[in-house]
Amino acid sequence: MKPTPFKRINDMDLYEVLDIGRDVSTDAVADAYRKAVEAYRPGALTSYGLLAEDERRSMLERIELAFRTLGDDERRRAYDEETFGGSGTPSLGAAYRRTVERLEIGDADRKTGFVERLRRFFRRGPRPD
Amino acid sequence: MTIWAVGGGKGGTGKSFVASSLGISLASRGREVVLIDADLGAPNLHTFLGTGDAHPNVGDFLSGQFPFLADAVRPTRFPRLGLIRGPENTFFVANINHFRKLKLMRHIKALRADHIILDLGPGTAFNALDFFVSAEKPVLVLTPEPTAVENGYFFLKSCILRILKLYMEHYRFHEFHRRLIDQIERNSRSISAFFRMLVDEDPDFAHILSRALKTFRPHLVMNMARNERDEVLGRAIADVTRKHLTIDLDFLGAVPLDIRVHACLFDRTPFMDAHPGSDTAAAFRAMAERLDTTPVTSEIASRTP
Repeated sequence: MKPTPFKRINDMDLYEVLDIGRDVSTDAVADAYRKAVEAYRPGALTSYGLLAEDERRSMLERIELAFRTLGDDERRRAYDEETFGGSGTPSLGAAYRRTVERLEIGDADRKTGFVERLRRFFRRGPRPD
Repeated sequence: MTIWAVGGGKGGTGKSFVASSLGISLASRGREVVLIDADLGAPNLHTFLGTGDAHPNVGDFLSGQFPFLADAVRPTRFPRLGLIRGPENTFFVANINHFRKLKLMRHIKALRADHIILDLGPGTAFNALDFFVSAEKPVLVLTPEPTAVENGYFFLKSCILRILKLYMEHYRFHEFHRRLIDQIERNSRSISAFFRMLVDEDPDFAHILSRALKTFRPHLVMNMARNERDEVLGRAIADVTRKHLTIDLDFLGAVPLDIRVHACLFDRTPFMDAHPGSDTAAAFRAMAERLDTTPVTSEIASRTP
């Protein structure tokens, strides 16, 4: 599956993250997960020199999240429902869920966690534009 | 006529070996092929083909000793395969200026052949990049080792920046975009981070540039592959490149490592000639078949021995 040009790592849906179609089996999800981890693990030859270290790390976190979600039938159904809904366009629920996911990802790393970011925001004030 | 450019950031990945072997494979399919040693700083394509005469060569043409590049094409031991050797005195031509480069490009396009294959030098100097991005079939040669993979990505990123820069200059985009590119050049931000910034600041322009990049579709050859894992690596590199660099890198195939290549170099014997039955030779024939898309006309086919 080809990604849309210029998609940010956090904007790729979980299927795009694993490079799989939406109709693949749970076994195929596990295979894709193993392949993806192999490509983005620390020091991986496949992505060596391609991404900055923080990008590689957030890609790996996204891959873990994709496997946790799509590797479980129940969660995958819920994700599909919320992300793609019936109309094929992302719903409001999907936007909410993505935000929560990002916070979860952020919290995985203590230095850039949600609470820490809030704290920094108030210390520094809003970014000047 | 199809112009190929064989390149890749790192030296010693087998660019000249791949270029010469692809040339031999295409010629044996009945095509008229001209190989050009465009590694102006360190040419040795002639050694892979075992040809002797040092003159005429690209250097003689660039220094104005004869007016047409076509006069520098010399026959090889293979029917339908011609060679334009690299310069003998590299000191005078290794760093040709923009205008001589354009002149060389013009003359390359005027050559009469079905396929013209440029063997580029290593590194990401503008000379190598410009030939690579303007070729119809750019071929990136990597080996399964960190140094080659890393330099391969640097090379692709440089190609992308080169295309974007040329594009911006051509359309006189304003200072803001130039600033973005300067930023990525100076701070060595990754291309993906650069695009992220661009999407945020100017989605329309990001879209225009993504369309500009659509025309750049390099092929990837994984040379010196030792096992199936190396072939898988080639496929995976093409996948992650598509995902993060937004260019369509096509994995052409893996070339199995054959230690006899080394011995062939010492004998000045083309490997394809010495070991036509090897897996390595078969890999090149398969690649040539895949990329040689226009049907062989009866006239050309009748020339096949």
